[in-house]
Amino acid sequence: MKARVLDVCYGGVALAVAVAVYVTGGGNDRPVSVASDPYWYPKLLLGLIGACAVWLMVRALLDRRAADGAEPLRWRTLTGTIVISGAYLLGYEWQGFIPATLALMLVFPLFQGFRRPLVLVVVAVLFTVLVWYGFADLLNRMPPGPALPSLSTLFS
Amino acid sequence: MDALLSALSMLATPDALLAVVAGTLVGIIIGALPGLGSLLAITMALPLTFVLGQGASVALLLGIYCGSVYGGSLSAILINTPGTPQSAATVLDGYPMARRGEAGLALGWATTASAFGGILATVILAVASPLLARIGLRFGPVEYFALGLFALTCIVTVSRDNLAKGLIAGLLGLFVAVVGQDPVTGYLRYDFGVFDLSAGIGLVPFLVGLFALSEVFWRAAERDKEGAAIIRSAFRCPSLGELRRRFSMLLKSSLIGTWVGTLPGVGASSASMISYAEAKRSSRHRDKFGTGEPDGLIASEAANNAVTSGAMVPTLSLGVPGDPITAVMLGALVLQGVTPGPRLFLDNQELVLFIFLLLFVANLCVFFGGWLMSPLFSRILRLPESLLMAAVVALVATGTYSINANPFDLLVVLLAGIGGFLLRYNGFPLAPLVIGFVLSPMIEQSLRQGLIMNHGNFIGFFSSPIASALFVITALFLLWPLVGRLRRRSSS
Repeated sequence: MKARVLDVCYGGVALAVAVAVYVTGGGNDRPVSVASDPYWYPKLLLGLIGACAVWLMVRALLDRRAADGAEPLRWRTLTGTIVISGAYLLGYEWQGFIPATLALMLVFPLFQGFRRPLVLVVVAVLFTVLVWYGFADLLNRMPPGPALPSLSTLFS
Repeated sequence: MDALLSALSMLATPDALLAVVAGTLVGIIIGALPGLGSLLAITMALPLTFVLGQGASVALLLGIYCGSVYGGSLSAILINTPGTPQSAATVLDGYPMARRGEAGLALGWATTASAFGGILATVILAVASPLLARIGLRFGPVEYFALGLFALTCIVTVSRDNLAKGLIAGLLGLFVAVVGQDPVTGYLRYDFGVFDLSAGIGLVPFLVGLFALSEVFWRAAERDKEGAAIIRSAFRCPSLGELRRRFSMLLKSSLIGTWVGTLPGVGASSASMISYAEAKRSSRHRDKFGTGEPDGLIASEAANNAVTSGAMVPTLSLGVPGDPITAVMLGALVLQGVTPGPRLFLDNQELVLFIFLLLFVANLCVFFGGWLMSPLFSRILRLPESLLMAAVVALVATGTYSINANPFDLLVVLLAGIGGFLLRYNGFPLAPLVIGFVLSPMIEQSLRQGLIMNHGNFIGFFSSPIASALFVITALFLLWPLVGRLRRRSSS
């Protein structure tokens, strides 16, 4: 799809979102001074976004130079990466750091085409343990979920 | 003298020294990994600043900043891929030098030029910043608003390719920062009934998601992934004779980088290109540029590291970030209870001197770190990208969660990552977004305070000579390129 058409779409989406937030985001029923109105500044920004969106659309419509659209991407890999990362981030707390990170370090590279299972397992375990001790023992920021024995206990 | 002694005592603590050395080494590693960048390195370290003391936090961030800018030259020279955008110009002559068997010398020149540029800029920073601070004492809300508006013009500079999209991204960043409590009345805005949004969108989760996570998605989606040959090399420092012959290029490039760094929004990427272009114009070996000429490599690396100190001038003196990276650092300093701005030099002189000393030490560490770590990088750069990216996701989550132990922050990271990817894919630059996000609170608060002081009258903003001068400079900065374009059209 040509870049011109895409830019018109982007401008349209930006304009629609700006208008929607402007209308639904709230405001003051009674007139107040600009300095005291909490909605004056954000509504100014939304208005400017709308104006820039219109500018983008008009410029795209007037620009006669034919240009390529967005570059081709590996959509399947991208979607899978987003799903895996999203599952990790959203499930981070209830799964716990260790099981979640081990799973991530195994599944993510496998999905991306890495095919050396022994290296994968060693790296996953080493990385998880190092990051755990880095945060829990060195920085005193305990990640969620099951815990490893602290270094002071191990070496006491 | 008391302040200097106090700063030296702050530096001499094991925490600060360890943090600056470790930060520089970590920064070099992250900077050397293609695609990660200085901004990612600093945002990944942001959560750590919550558990470190103020001195160690500042030391860590400055070390990472200086190290990561230099680190990009390693992959630029060894595998023809700039590790950071700041090293894009380094590829032009660094990789050809490596291809003809001079990788060690190329690394030596990159390390020497980076350290020299950073140290010279630090000395200039130490001299120039107090002068700016005295002027800054005359700044009130009106002046701060004018300054913030001037700083926003950097959105125009970084959006050269598509101004409309850059402005939309910048305005979006300004708007996203509005979510949460109004700074003047405390009224909740745009929380849509979500309790976690009442505190606004966190700086760290937003930035980490926008840059780090979106980069992971981007690298997963890229279709063309041809690797380039990796060349092992032994680090070789340039000889004293070679240094003498190229000293003027070192000095000029460092000064260009220092000066460009003080200009809001131009950044190290542009500084290295400007320096490279000037070097090509003035060098005796200009015909050899692009084929492995050390002057080209020196110009790029001296300038981009000089920017690290130069960009601290507006950040420390005026509280205005020089580029997106110092915008994040500004946020980090505020989180540490430091208020950059005109009063910093009067109220907290020892901290300012401490920062100068840290920059000096960090740039020394760049030199020695580069020397020690060059052989290591040939090995690390061979790690599969999928393993590296998985590690980035894990570090992003762990680091962000460690701030508030709030899973909502991880949702912000995910949404910012998806949003950042979509914006980037559709040609919207991310730099204006982060600039707008960081500057928005200052701009809104100073604007509304200025209006309260002037009884709601906008004309009152022009009664201040400093503000008026800044408004005029802002207008010139915005309009001059248009005037130039119109003149070129009329002459053609």
